[in-house]
Order: sequence, then structure tokens, then C-alpha cells
Amino acid sequence: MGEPWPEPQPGEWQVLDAGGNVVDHGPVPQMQAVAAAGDDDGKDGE
Amino acid sequence: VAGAIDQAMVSKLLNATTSATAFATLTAPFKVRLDSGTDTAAAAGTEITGGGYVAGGQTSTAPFASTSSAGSNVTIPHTAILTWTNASGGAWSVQSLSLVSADPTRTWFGNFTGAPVAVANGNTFQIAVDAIVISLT
Repeated sequence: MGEPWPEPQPGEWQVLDAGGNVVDHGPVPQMQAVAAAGDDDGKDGE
Repeated sequence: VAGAIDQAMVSKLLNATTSATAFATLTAPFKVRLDSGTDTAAAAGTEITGGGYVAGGQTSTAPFASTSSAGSNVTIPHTAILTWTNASGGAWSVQSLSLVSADPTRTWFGNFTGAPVAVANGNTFQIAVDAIVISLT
């Protein structure tokens, strides 16, 4: 038996080739309904 | 915005939590759908097609989603990875993903950073356990 294919890293997607080699990977998009609070409050910075 | 909630679902949540409008229960299983087009709040992009991809998306071992408590995030897939092996004869171009109930109702969506993700014929696309994080705040 060959070695088991690697599992994707936490929080990530991955693409494996037919031999089970990771050819690409990256972060999975997060789904947030309400944007994090920032400084875009319409004030002029005073 | 990388990802958020379907605008029809926004209205259902708002109406159900501000008046006596009942929130109609959605039907399991919930599935993750892959799209070749960009998802927006208004609509999903065109769904991936071809061998190795079942229309409507894929679920995995239950429980598919974690349970929110005290406002915490929900994560999907909660128990087993999602995996698709492209047998379409051509490359898949994965732009975005949607969470869809069995009805089907689209609830949440997200576009991949640096999209599209190219999945050549014969290659396998996988999403890690708890990789999709869904939050309301």
C-alpha cells in the first residue's frame, strides 16, 4: 500500500494530483455577515 | 467582501427576529456547492459541472455543522473533509462556494481569495474539517 494522501491543513483547501501530491492550497473563504468594526465611521479623525 | 450571507436569508432573519414572521425550517442535508462564477449576495455563480461533481453540492459525515453557542461561530464540514475528484475531462475553475439546504435554499457564500482555483482533470479538490467559518458578528 502507498502512503495515505495528506489531509488539507486547518482552514485550507488543497488540490492533489492523481498521485496524492499537493499541487496547490490556500485559505477557505470565511462567511461573516457583519463586518468587523473599523474606523470607517464617517468622522474626520478628530 | 470575501463571503457573507444571501440577501434573501438576511431578510428572513430580520423579519423573523423583528416581527411575528415565522422562519421556515430549512431541510437537511446541507451541502457545499462549488461555483465557477462569482457569488454575490443576490445570487450564486454558475455551478461546477461534469464527471466527479454531483449537481447541488456535497455533504459529509454528520454532524455537518458545529453548533453555535453564546454567539460563537459555526464551522463546516465539522466531521469529515469534503473531496471532489475531477473526472470531467477538462479543468474546473472554482471561483466560489455556497452553503445550500436540501430545499434548496442558499444561505451563505464565499469567494476564494486569488480565485479561481484550478483543478485539472484527474486532480482532487478538498476542504479541511472546520475550514469554513460562519459568523454573524
